Amino acid sequence: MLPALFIKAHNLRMMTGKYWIVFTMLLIISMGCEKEDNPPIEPVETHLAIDLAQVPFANLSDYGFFKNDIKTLTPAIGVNPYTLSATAFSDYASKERFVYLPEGTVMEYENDFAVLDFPVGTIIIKNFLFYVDERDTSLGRTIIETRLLVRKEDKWKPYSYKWNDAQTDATRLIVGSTVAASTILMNGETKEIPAYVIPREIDCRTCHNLNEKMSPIGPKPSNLNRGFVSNPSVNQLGHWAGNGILSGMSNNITTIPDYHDETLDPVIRGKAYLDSNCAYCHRQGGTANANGLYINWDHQGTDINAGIYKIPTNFNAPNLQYDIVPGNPDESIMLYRMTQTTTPAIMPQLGRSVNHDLGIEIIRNYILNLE
Amino acid sequence: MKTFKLLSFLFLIGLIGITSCKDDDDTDPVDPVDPNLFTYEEATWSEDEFITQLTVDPNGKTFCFGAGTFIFTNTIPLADISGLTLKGAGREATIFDFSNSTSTSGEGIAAIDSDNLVFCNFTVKNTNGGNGITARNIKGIRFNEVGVEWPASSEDNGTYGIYPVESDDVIVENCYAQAAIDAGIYSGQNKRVILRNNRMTLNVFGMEVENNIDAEVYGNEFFENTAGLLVYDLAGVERIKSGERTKIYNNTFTNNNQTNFAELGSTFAADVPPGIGMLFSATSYIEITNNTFVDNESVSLLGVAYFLVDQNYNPLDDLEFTFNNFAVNIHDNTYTKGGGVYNQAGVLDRPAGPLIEIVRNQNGGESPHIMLDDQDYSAAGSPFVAADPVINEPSNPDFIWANFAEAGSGVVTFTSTDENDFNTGDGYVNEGFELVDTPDECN
Repeated sequence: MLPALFIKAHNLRMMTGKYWIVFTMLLIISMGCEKEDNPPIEPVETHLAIDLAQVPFANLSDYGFFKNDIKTLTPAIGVNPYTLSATAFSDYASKERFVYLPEGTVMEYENDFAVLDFPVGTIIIKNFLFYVDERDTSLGRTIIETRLLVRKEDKWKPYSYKWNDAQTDATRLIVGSTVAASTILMNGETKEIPAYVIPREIDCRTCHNLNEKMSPIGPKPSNLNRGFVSNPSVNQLGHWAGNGILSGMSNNITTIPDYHDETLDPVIRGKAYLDSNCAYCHRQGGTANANGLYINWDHQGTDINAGIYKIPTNFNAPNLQYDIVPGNPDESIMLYRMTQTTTPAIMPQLGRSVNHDLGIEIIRNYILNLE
Repeated sequence: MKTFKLLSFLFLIGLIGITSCKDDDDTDPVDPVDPNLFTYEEATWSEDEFITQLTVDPNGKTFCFGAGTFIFTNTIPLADISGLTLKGAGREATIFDFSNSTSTSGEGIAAIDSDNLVFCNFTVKNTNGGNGITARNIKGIRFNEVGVEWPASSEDNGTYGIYPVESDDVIVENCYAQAAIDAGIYSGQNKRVILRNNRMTLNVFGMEVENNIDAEVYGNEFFENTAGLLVYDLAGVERIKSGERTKIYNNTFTNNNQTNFAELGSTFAADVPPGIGMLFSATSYIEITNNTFVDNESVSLLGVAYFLVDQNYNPLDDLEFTFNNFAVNIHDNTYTKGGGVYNQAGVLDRPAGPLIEIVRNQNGGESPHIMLDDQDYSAAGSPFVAADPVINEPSNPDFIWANFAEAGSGVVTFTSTDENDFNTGDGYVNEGFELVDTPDECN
């Protein structure tokens, strides 16, 4: 009993409010148990409570998001796992996503394509990790970093944590870093990432930007409308609504499909890929708003805004003229930039140092099938 | 004697340091620590320290760099900031060197969604393919005595030097831009812009004014670029689809005959032949006056319709986009030529080059001073009829008014070679404008 409690003892100075009270109560219970030599009683686990004023903490463990062995990423109560239908490529890293909501707070639905309206105190937690072999996860994995988006009173704030080699904790890292990583993909191919980039905190907003405000990107209803990884038959949104942490849900949600699905129409598949990998900048109100290329799933615009026969505003592509030449991927700047790994041609500009083979194939087929 | 010189030099450096990074009004010998001032010196430079200070709270702060070279390994990102000054000890004294940057955007500085930013008294050098300084959606921004440079003309240089875009109340003054593969100084989709007293050399375009509303371009020196100034509108952008009200005056355009060193590619700049003083296209309400064009040996002043920028563009695609030049007033400029060398090889190397060659051949081997497209593209399916410009040039320059629609087939039909045909009374006169969010001075 005591050792389990002791794991959290080094965080004592960080604990405040309800969390501290819970800890004290547990300590009292445990001391009582020992005196009377009764069989151990499992403490009743209570909802995690984080004092927003104390954020950012120095270490990831200070938040208490994960119980037991931190590297198993087993969420505490109040920390809700989720996954996305169409995901952003990050140098072949796997991701485990969670959202912490303060007790009694509720996420609100706005529309299918807007991220949920998260209550003040929300912390979105994204862990970036590499499996030794994606085909057999029992062979182990290395968690590289954990990125937090914290909904403060007035705005979202980003904080970044780099895991130690022993995988016992992660420490805040403002200025970023690079690490070498590798993994074996589901298709058996080995991928080496010589310089996986942990971005600087100051870089987060480059992608997490909408209408002049820092913003989450992934958790929008159209991208959340699917089953849990751990239980695919349970819909994430339905589960949250049923638990009372999501309100105002629509009954009929447009779903952006998982672009890994090879049975999809190639244009639909391409649009899903563009939405999750490009459109966070290339949408109205995104960082690349000035370029006039808007390739989010829900954009209704002219052909030229979709990139078709569009001259880029700020890039001289060698011997190419337009972002997309329908039916001709090799004459399309969009595909060219996805196949490049050096500045300034590389696109996206953050989160990718190696090519995404599947993404290149998807966009090649997308352009080939455009008319 | 040597020691004395060294001491004087050190004293001078010290003085520069004091005037650049301390408050001039502060006479207290024991300086209280100013919580809004961060200072950096070459000897103790730590990029991580600077980035950390920027991350924690940049609002209202001054980041002041002493003389010397500061090595950066990544872009300087600035976002969501209200009031920030980034300054050095002088444009040539303080160098931000990005030669070893691993930034994937390749930019030196990238600012977004902020107000009241001031950049002054430093030079950004050798960004790896990206712009020197990008500034998007800024309300009130001033560049004063800022340089952006690459050492020589190379297709691996950055696209633009100074690049404010989608911003309001923009001042770029006393700046220097060298060897950008597109434009040394750019202003795109901005409202209320002053570009004055800058010097641009060895760029493809010295300066580019794209989709702006209310811009004044004056007192600038365009020297030995491929082409001096481009004023035009690009189709397919949202904030300002059609620019208007640009006044270009008191500039000098000298010997812009440099071979275009951009790789042939997607930008309009890459298409442009050398020897052009100023080029305008698809823009409205433009007054060009009191400029001096010297030895731009292809053409001093060239006006073309958007077909020359993008021959596949469908003019019916977006009716808000002004496809032709409209309300152009050219008056009281001076033109000379022949002191430089017509760069024929460079001209023929570029897609728009044949137009220059055809016109010269039809003009007795002479480059004109002014050459304007009559913008009649009805044969190519354009329903738009262009308004004629107003031209009043007492200096009587060589003038050609012609149809460029068949230039691709080697045919340019001259309609008039007498600019007096277009001296038709009052042209558009730019009334000027007032800045709303006046960017701070550098102090």
